[in-house]
Amino acid sequence: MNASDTTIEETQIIDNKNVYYPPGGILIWMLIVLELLTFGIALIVMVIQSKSEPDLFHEMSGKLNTLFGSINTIVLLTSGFFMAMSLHKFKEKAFASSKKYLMFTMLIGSVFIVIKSMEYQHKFAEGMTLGSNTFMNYYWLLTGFHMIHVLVGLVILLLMYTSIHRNPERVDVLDYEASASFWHMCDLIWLLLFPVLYLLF
Amino acid sequence: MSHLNNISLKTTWVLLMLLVIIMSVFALKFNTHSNFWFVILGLSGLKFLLVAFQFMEMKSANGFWKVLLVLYLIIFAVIIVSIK
Repeated sequence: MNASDTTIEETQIIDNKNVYYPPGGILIWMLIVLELLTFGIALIVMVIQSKSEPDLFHEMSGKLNTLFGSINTIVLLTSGFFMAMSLHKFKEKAFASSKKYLMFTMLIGSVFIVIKSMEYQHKFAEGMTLGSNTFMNYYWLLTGFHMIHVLVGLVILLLMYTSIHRNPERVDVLDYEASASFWHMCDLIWLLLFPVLYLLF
Repeated sequence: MSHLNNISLKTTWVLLMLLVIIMSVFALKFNTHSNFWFVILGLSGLKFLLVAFQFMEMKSANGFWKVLLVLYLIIFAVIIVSIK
């Protein structure tokens, strides 16, 4: 057994009850907490600003397509489910199943990008672009940053898929957990964005 | 949160889908109701916790992280509702 094998073996028995070792590792959770704070504060500032332009926010929010938003919620949560299944199978060393679920995760995650792009196209066609008004500025910035996170998540998952495809035994479970946590973070952010942007005004 | 510890991934997914459907129906039918915001934020918060505790396996994490997530949600919801 060489040094890297030892490292892999050691990471399999991490105690998540230790405050420094949440699932995925403390670094990814520091990132998740910071991201949640950033998006949360942005949404709170948006709601504060809506008090000075309530009619505009009501009108613009009403023009967003709730059906697209709801479908995208289903898409992201389903993708998250497959991600969780993939990680579960990976820990059981059922690598073929893990790879299959990871592929589903990425495919369904890509559907989110397609639906969001369609929504963006409609908004462009209606002239509701960045700079149109205060509400649309928040809409584009918040959903745009979220979409960048989804794209980065897909790249991370693609890298993990390649690693598992080449040699699953060499993939550290902590790395896989961290990648999965990043992907689920996109779900968490969307679950904050969707009700506030699409429903509350 | 103990009830969240014992449900499987598939059950979690079914619950999440039900919550999305309930929220969509509620948003379409009752968007002028006085408790609309509370229900919408409550349902979204429940989905948030299901994803964090079940899919992200935070049910097995140290209590600090669990409390942090729940506190974050409560503070976020309270601020949003109090501003609205």
